[in-house]
Amino acid sequence: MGPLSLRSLLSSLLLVALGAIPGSLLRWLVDDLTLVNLLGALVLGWLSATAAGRPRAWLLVGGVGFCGSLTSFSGWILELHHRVQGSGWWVALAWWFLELLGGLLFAALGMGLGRWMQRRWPPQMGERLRR
Amino acid sequence: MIASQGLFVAAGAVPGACLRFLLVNHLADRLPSKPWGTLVVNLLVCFVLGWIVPFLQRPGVPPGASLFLVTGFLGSLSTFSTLMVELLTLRSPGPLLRLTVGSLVGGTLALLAGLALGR
Repeated sequence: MGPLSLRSLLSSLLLVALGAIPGSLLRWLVDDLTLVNLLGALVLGWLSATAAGRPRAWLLVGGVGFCGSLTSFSGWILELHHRVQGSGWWVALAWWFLELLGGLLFAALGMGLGRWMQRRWPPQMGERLRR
Repeated sequence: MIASQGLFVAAGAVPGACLRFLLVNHLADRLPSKPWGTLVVNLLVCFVLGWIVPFLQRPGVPPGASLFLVTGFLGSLSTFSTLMVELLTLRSPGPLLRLTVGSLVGGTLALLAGLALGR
């Protein structure tokens, strides 16, 4: 791996870490996985739709780092497991699907909002060149 | 909640998120499409979670261990948001259904396998 690639990789990891710290802390402090998962889906949808013409830190810090750490798939499955034990399969699966639909909806809302904002306020030419 | 607890969480989150980044990018070249890379990592985390959670509940295990390993590391290694956005990018119902069912069944089986291993 050339020096430029290694430096690029290390800076990417630093950017990811920068987002991961607040994301994980927020998930821990809020202590409501459904809420943070839905919030993370919303934010990531928005970041994805607004990424064009922006520096790579946008997605690395916000997407991979922050949203990736804010949300948890394994926690979601663990919750399903606990609900099965508490309320049985049907109730647990119903919740799981509601959260899935909610996640998709929130991600779509974020994307929709992002796309609208990109059209309304397109990013500057300078940023486009920088990327 | 005190600052040192937050440090444990953040200290686990950094390698967790970085590892997720590296693994997903590594797998993206080897799997048919990007969503499956995220899924593989997510399932791996479910397996490890199933194994480690009962272990951490044993007496003598320091409270910081769970904050670092589960809340910090595993919590950041797996992601829900990426899966949602990736599901939305799938246009045809076939892959969408496969990824959804794969997540549910795979995640549950992985967790149960981890729990079984831990016993």
